[in-house]
Amino acid sequence: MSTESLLDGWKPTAPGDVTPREESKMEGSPVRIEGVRAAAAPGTASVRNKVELKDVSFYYGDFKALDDITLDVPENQVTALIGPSGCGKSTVLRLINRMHEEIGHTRVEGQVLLDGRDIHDRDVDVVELRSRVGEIFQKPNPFPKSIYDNIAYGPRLMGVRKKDELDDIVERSLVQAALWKEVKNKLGNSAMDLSGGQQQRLCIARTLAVQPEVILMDEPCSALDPVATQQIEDTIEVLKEDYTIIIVTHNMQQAARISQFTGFMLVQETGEPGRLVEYGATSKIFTMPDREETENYITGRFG
Amino acid sequence: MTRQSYHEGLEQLNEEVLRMGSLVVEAVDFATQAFLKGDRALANSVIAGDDDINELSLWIEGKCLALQAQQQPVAIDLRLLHTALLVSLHLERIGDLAVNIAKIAKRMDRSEVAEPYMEILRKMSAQALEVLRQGIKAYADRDAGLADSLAEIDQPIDDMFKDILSRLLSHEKGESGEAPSTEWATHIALASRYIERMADQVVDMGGRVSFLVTGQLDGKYFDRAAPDINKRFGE
Repeated sequence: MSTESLLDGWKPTAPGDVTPREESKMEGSPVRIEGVRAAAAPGTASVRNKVELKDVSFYYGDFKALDDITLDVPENQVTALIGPSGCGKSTVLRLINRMHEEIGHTRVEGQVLLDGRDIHDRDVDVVELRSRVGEIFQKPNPFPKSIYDNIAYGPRLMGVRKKDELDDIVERSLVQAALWKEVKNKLGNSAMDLSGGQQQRLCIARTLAVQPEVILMDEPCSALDPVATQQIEDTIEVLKEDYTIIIVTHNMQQAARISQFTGFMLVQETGEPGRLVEYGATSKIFTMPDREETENYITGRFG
Repeated sequence: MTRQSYHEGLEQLNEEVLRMGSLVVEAVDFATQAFLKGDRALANSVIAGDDDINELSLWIEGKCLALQAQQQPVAIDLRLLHTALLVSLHLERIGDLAVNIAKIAKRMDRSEVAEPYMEILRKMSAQALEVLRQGIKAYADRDAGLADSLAEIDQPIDDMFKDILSRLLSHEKGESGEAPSTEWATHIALASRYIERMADQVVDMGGRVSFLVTGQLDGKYFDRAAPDINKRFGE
């Protein structure tokens, strides 16, 4: 017997010491490798993109706020945008339901596509667009009306008149927003009497009432306590089954917990526009980001 | 339930560690049988099956990393991730040792087999399998007491290993009967060493289980001084 074959058994086979053969075998294996290696990158064939930004730059008057943002937002997933204050995260959100038009003296270059169609096309109706793309803001902003009327407001505007139809919409929306159990016996009470967390879930229910396809969330938990934050995060987890969610958050741990894809935005030098530094699977961004700036930000080394 | 997908992820991780455990029990059982009976086909199945164990080990590692990176686990969840990773590494090593034994089973010349040695190796194999089953049970049941008892049931294996080595050496010295060939002696020495190492891996695994249950890193499992480790952990 040769020494080589005798020593064969001693060959170190430390975990993680994967040979290329094993690596290639794993690609098609029935065991789904989640986490670091597995999450599909945005834009891959298995995921349909609901929203796409293509080479988007944006100006407030002469000031260039965003530079050349290209971003694919997969359908029925949670996509998070993180980055220091003033890097343009909220501006990106505004472009997706054309809320920037409420500000005036703004200009968009490039394309923002919803289901492949540019939402800035002349024949796109902005009211219809905003019913398809709902938004939840930083501070809960219920109308000073009853809980019921808050939810029924949108459907009534869209012509729903029948009481039982409205009742159904109110119940469905509140159930989806995980608020129904807490308010079902006081739908006539003022929405302003609810706690902050309940108000925010009411705003989510109000958005759901008009059956949007995309929900934009601009720091929806920043005014809430940890328990209310937890409830909103749980709600988001359920909502993604039916909706495409894009969330802006200062809380990068929140982005890590609830999103499947994360984009990191940054203003390199004061006065420069915000850029999308890195975008990818959340599991990858938080274990092995490609860019040093991303790593420095998420590890708290700056920002 | 709050944080549903996170808790489902932890549950899934736990189940995959247990699945890996049962694959490794099977590998050890078949490898030692193949060695004791000279069954080459069984040895080949152990060698082929190791890919599944390695794959599972990588999956567990990736899952632990992703959950730690994304979910900020604390307390029992943090201890579970830490334990699952280390237990899977121990199991993966045990799987490799089973492959080593299967390789010896394929190569060993049966005509030279001496019954007194095989009798000891039979006992060692059965005891090692028992240690492994109890180790996995300790993890599955979160049983720190059982984890603590693993070193005790491992002791006879260490004794038998020493017995085999001293018999081989005394043969070589010509003190009792005909000296075995160097090749055969090497096979017996390595096989007994692999079995002894497997059981040792399980005892260390028990230390991880103990940490999972008690939150204490106990040096007695790892031949290290306990106070220092605990101090570092507490800081």
